Amino acid sequence: MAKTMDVLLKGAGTFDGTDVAAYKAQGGYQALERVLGMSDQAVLDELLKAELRGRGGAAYPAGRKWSQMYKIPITPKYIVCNADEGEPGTFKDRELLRDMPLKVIEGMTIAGRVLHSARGFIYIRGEYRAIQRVFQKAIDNAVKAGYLGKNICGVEGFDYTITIISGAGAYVCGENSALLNSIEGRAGRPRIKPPHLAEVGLYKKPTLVNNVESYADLTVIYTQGADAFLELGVPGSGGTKLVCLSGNVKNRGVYEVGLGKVTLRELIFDPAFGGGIPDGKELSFYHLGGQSGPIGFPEQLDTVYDHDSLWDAGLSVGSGAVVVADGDVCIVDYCRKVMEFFVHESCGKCTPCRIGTMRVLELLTDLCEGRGRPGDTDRLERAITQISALSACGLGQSANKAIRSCLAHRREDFLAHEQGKCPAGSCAMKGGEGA
Amino acid sequence: MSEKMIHLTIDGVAVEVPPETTVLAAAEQVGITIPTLCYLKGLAPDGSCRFCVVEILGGRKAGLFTACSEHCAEGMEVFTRSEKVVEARKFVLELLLSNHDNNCFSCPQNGACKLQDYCLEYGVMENVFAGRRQDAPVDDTNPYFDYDPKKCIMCRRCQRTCEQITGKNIISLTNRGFATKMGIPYDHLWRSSNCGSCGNCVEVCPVGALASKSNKKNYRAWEVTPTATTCPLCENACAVELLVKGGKVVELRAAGVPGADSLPCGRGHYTYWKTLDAGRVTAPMVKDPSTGVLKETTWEEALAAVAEHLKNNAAVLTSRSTTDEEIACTEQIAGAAGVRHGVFGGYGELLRAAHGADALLIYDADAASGCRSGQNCSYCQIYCDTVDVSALNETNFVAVATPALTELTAVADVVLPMPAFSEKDGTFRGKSLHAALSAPAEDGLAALLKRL
Repeated sequence: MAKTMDVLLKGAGTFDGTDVAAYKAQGGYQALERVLGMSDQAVLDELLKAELRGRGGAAYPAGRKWSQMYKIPITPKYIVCNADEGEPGTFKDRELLRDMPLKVIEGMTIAGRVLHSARGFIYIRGEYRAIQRVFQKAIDNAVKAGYLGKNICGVEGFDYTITIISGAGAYVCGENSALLNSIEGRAGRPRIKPPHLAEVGLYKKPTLVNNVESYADLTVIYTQGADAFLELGVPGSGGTKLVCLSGNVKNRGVYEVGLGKVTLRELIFDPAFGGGIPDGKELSFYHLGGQSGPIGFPEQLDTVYDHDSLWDAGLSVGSGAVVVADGDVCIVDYCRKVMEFFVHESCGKCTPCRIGTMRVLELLTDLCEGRGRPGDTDRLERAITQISALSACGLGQSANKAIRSCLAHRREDFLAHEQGKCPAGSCAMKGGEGA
Repeated sequence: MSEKMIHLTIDGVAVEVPPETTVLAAAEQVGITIPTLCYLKGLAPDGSCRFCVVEILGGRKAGLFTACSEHCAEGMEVFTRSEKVVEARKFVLELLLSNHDNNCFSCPQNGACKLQDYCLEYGVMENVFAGRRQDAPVDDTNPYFDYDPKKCIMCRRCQRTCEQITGKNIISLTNRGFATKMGIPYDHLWRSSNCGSCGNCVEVCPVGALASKSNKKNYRAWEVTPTATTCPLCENACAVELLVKGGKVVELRAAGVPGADSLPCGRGHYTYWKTLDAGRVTAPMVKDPSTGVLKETTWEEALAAVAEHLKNNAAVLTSRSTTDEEIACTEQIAGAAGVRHGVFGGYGELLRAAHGADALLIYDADAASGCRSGQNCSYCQIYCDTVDVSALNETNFVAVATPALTELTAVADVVLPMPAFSEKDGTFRGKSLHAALSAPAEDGLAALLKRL
């Protein structure tokens, strides 16, 4: 019944992704050539019609972002690709960058063409050192083949170059404004908004920042047309999505699915995807969209996987990560691990994130180590609510999501920890006991 | 006005503002004060403390926003003290307090601390979070102020002032997350940085993390009486306040907004206002011809000697950093005696101006100021006058009007007492000086003019 799609990653791994001729044999650069024959407005209209939602996590409609950017009269403009794939459990950009670099380059080139920018930057996380070399080779080959550089495709005045910038391990640099600070050589701390990046971005110039997968999706939209792209998904969420399955699931890996075409149950249990929980264990919960995403439970498994359906169920697509946990994993301990991540990655600029995440981690650690006190669950809830309402950037604002969904669905587990009991039996409690 | 105005309400009060006005500025316009910690007029909004949050309904978005950075939009309804806002601000205070050395008793900022004031206002009376705290030793290597990391709330006012206003950019934030640390890059000590000790970072610190050594040792905020005056050290004529406790100036504080109204330098901030007890001239003095040592004398004898020598090939020289009235006074003295008049900025200029004169009357207004170690030390990097004035020994007669004994009075035949900076009324560069203390003796130049 359930089916993996073969659109974005079509032919991935079967040919040299850095080779322009091989890429063209797979249908590459048709999108760019089609765009060259269209007016700017037609390109923008098609993107709006395709209902492409940003693939980095925030799911902002790409068409709207481009149209806002297009109207801004300031030059020069910069095109930036966010390849700082740092959400734990997310590894789909890696596939594209490694196997389909020219697809990302083509997408960025289309953005350069339409938004009249001559400069593109791709910020690749430092951990992808080997992939940076692959990507550079692809850029070099594209330059040689006349698809980057001056007068691209023989079009007079169509100049565009792409520069790779390496990250250095900071998760917060995946936040767009911190990423631009990092490119500029500043400390990777988010900027205060307004002004928005579309007006005052990289080097204080209008800047478009999109995710790797979003740029790759452009090649599908302009090769097959907006209608076909929308067909791949559902109204409101066009196209396919790369989903990263990991954790306690039999078949871990990256799968391409049509948005709105599969349910979470199929993703985790269908043999074509996750294939269920190993060792005959029960599903306990699954974490969607990375550490900054919400946690889902077995009772929500029939939710359809697209932006709006998940949103209505209190879940989200986010980056596309699906981390599965079986019954041996204590949910409070898992939340502690999530918070450890945010404490480590907080840039330290704003008060709620700098100090608040540490206080939440301390509360959770107390609960997991048998030092819980009555009322800790309420204290935890108050703290995460305030941190998300008060934080300056997406990092602090979304640090609460996992815990919030756990409190909504499994509050009893937290209350048990207040009493020194761990229902999953995995927390080592002094004087406490597992259920 | 061609700009389209924006209409909104703040706590129910209708406000009309031009585009790109922040909510904070709009509120100020109608007399509503929104509490702030990291915000500082003249600096770009930082939005890092999150204390100035207000609740916004209507418009395109709803929720909590920082008033210092959020622009007004048409139709916004802003609430500055709703339940949600108060709860959020309380939470921010609780967090800051949980990572702050709460030993207010020994804190120099006790009674003048924004964190303390707001905690009182919002009823945050104790630390509700046990847990890790920032911990690093006090850096007391700057000669004029100390930095206590345990008290720092990371508002970055000091860092942004140093970067955006003074342009020195020597303070930086290192590390990340909870371990974020304000200070000199690479964990160096203050002494080893190229900090010029201008002290503006100390001025803008809302808590006691950066505090002057004098504040630590000599006074608390409620013990001092401020006198608004003008620093006459240079043509910037900074608006300042002298803080007096027990008949002594204990601190000079910048008045108003740093950068916009006043930006005192290190010398102005920490040494220029000091009137040293040792060597203070409290009565006229003449040199004993047999021993060559200055001894106190009567006004009559001292003034007669000066008046006598001013007649032939004399010059009246006055330092530039003094009041218009005092310069006018020395000009009149020169006019009455029929000799030339000049001004000087430092002892180097003084020697050039004195060249060729047989008798000199020098008004050395800066004499009482500073540590005057004369070492021109790179340590504090504050300007010291180190020019050797012993060449004036060749001059036939030297009279020095001065608040204190210095290397210049060592060559003087007559010394007349003068008020120090903190004891003067007058005008400087169109701004007013007000005496914070009374002078220990009569004004020597005024007495001389009267006699002439």
